[in-house]
Amino acid sequence: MKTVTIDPVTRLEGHGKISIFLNEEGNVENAYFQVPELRGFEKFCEGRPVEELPDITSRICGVCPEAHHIASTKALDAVFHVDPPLAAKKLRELLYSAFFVADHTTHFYILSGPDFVMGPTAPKAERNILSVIGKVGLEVGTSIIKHRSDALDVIAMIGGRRVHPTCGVPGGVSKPIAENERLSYPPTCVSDKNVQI
Amino acid sequence: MSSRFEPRIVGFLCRWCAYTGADLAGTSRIKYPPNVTPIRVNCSGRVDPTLVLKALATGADGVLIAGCHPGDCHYTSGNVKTLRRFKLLQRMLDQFGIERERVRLEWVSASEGERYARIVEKMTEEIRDLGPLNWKAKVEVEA
Amino acid sequence: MPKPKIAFNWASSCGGCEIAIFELGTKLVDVANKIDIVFWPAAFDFKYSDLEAMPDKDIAVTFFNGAIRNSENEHVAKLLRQKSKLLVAFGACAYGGGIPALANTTSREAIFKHDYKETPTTDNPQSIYPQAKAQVKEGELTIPDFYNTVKTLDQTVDVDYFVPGCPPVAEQVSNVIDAFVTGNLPPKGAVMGASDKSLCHECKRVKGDRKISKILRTYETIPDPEKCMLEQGVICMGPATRGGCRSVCLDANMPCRGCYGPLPNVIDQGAKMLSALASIFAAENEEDITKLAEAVPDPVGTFYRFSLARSLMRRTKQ
Repeated sequence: MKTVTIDPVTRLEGHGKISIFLNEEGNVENAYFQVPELRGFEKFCEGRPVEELPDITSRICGVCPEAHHIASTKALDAVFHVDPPLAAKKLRELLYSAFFVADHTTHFYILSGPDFVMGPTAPKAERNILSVIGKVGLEVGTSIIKHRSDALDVIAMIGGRRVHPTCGVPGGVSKPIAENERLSYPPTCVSDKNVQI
Repeated sequence: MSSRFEPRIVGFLCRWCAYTGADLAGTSRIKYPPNVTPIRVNCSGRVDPTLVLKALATGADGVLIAGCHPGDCHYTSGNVKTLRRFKLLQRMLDQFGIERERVRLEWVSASEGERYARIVEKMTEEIRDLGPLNWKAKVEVEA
Repeated sequence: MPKPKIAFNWASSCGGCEIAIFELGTKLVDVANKIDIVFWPAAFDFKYSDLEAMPDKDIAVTFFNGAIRNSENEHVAKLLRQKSKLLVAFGACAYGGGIPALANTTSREAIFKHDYKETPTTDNPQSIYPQAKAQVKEGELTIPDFYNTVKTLDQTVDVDYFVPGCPPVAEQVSNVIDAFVTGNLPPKGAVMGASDKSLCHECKRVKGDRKISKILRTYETIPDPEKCMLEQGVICMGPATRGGCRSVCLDANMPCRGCYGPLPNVIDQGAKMLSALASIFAAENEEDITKLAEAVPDPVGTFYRFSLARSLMRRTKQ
């Protein structure tokens, strides 16, 4: 039986391998998706101080660290039986909303975008973000990059860092947004025209 | 005749008290096990935890740190610094899974040759009972 | 003049270092025009077979992130070493093991048992564990061997440069890329994109008498954002960690956890932090010292948070 192997699966966060078995007629007899990675977070988080877990579990994913960080932080609220004050909830939600913008932009343009913008039958060497920017033009590309970066600025304002922000504590967040920080953030998202592809 | 396990113990001995005490054990012809490899340091406070871990990681079965009794340190409070590092190092060694008998901190004065010999004797026998540490093999084990 | 070939690879990692590269923004587009990216699983569709077909030393620079956790990570590290003139350990995982190296506090057996059998949301009544080789009706399937101990990249292959950080911050990534573009590189084996001084030098907080009389878990206090964390009783890895990140975690009123790795000439980051912390215990007698020592939760997991694979002991006993 002939085997077609796709290794590694690309343009996703994580590792994957696909083995396709073809029968004598050349048709797919069966296909298997395999996960060749495991890190063991479920086990090695045991023995760690519980308040450190938002930072440790954030490293489950560097594309969506905020998701793990906030989920872990909410678990801390439950562990300590505390309900955060309204301001803290809003700050967490603001971080999360900015995360949506950055993460969805990353996913669409870098990860899955090439399949839609270049097309799945485009040559292998063209299925990537650079070709996408080549196709939509540098002006649009620069605008996309800027909007994504603006979202990450919001994340950094609340969590200090742009990748793996850190702010989750049981019952709240570690810092407020100072007035000068708030004023320093330019409202470009409101004034910019819509980006069309 | 089976060969007995001979523990290899690295000893960091302060030159003012402990090393002199160890020297006295020698000049007094006191019989005691030869399992400690002595390293003279100016003060037990100079013993960086890195040195202890390096000894264990590269083949030592135990580490002895010996300094002046509290109050007698030639540099006034070097041995207090040793104690601070040692207590925290013990917590970390517990987590690594290294038995407390393997890493000891003792106060030995320059006149305590007999005491030094008995400390080495006790430590050697305790580690002999525990067996070799063989840390390198533990790292390389493929489950 | 053909463009230099550049490759990126991820081993046991999270993708944050990939995002760190994308943080270059429009600079990435500019640089990309001057290079030929030949392998980057996160963003490009080249496969291992493409890599295997390349001549040796065909790639000018490979940026490799992620720790060496399994046989695939090891195989690709060796392959990329063979195919690359320069190999860079990029990010905390490749440099020191990173968060995945916390698995060195447990074992393959314990991880498999827990992850595939014991976790509350796992339903596996037949106790089926992944196998490196499995026979299915149509043929054989293989996945990598999961090693018992996580290793760093340079414990696996020869590495030319190290870029620490989890992930390296945008400003430093830019500096590192500039160094490669201009060819202005330090001697082999150097750490790039980080300061040679400890984080304390960059930290904007006010340092006082540097004595610690109580150790608090981070939830036991609301730290004063102006004062040194350690002096307030909160364990901060600053004294034992390279600067270069502009102390952004401290700006978020959170303590440093050491992701930029050890300072120059330090072979064990955790031992140095232990020494630094113990040195500032405001305690003179055995009883007080012991009390403080016992108040430190999880010394191994805190002092070696990002560097357990690169430590002297490398793992805890199973």
